[in-house]
Amino acid sequence: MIEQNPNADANEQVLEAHKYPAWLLGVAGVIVVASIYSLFLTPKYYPAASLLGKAEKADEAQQVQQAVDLLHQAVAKVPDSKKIRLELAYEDFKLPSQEAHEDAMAALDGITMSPDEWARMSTVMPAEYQSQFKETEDK
Amino acid sequence: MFFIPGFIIGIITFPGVIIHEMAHRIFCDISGVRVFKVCYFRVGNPSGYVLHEHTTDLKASFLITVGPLIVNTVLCSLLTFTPAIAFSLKPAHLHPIFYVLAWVGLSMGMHAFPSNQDAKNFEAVVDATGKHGLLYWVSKAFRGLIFVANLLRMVWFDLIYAVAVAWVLPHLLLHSISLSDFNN
Repeated sequence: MIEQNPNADANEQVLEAHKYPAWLLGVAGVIVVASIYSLFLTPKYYPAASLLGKAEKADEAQQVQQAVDLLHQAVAKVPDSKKIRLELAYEDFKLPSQEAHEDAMAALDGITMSPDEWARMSTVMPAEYQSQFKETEDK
Repeated sequence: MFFIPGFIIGIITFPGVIIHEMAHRIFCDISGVRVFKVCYFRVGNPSGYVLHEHTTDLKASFLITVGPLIVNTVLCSLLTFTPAIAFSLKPAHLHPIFYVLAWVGLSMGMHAFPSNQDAKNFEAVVDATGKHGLLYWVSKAFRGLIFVANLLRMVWFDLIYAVAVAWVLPHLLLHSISLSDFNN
């Protein structure tokens, strides 16, 4: 909030321009350091997100193998990303090879899917693989 | 919908309040408007304030008013850039710094909009010019926009704005890059 003081006279104490309290500069410094540290972590996540985006475009263009290749690159960058692993499994299941399906199952290892994610996955997952999954109780 | 008293939101999002007042102060200094007192943060309503001399300079008044909108929005976007991308990938483990940055960044975004008092001060300066040209009506529209934005805080507009700012830059960038790379 700002307030203008129409009754201010020349004797009123004026703060020196561009001079800020030390604690405020400290807060600003912490924010700057945190931002820089965060930017150092960007190279890990940004390329993975970019590859995921390209894979989604490849999927829209029905280029499944290209999508799988891009997602393999993405998962190598962020191996514990649930979103990338789900997408990789989804694309792998679309391919007609046993090897791709095993790759999909490896991508899903240890992942708990939400009902929406399961509904989407089961549209491409062959029935013999679906029987290997079980419902879990909500935590 | 749940309601939390403003002063509690102020406490939770205090980094945004501090930077909001700092932005007013910086633009006062840049515009050569003397500042008498600054409260960067306090528990109460308002959570902070800047007391400065009366100015009839329209440009200075405008800059002082919109200062937080510019500074807080830019900082919100920068601070949340990497966390927003990381969260979107749903990794099993995330560095704690991302949670800290997301909190600080969203705090900035939530306090980006000028208060009604800020807009009223600007409107008073415009009225004092006595002119009813384009600038007058733009300032009236700006005043109305700020009023509506502050009214919508009841339905968490400040948080919605912060989340939107955090979301827009990384997703626009990712979308444009993936689209152009794929087309090439």
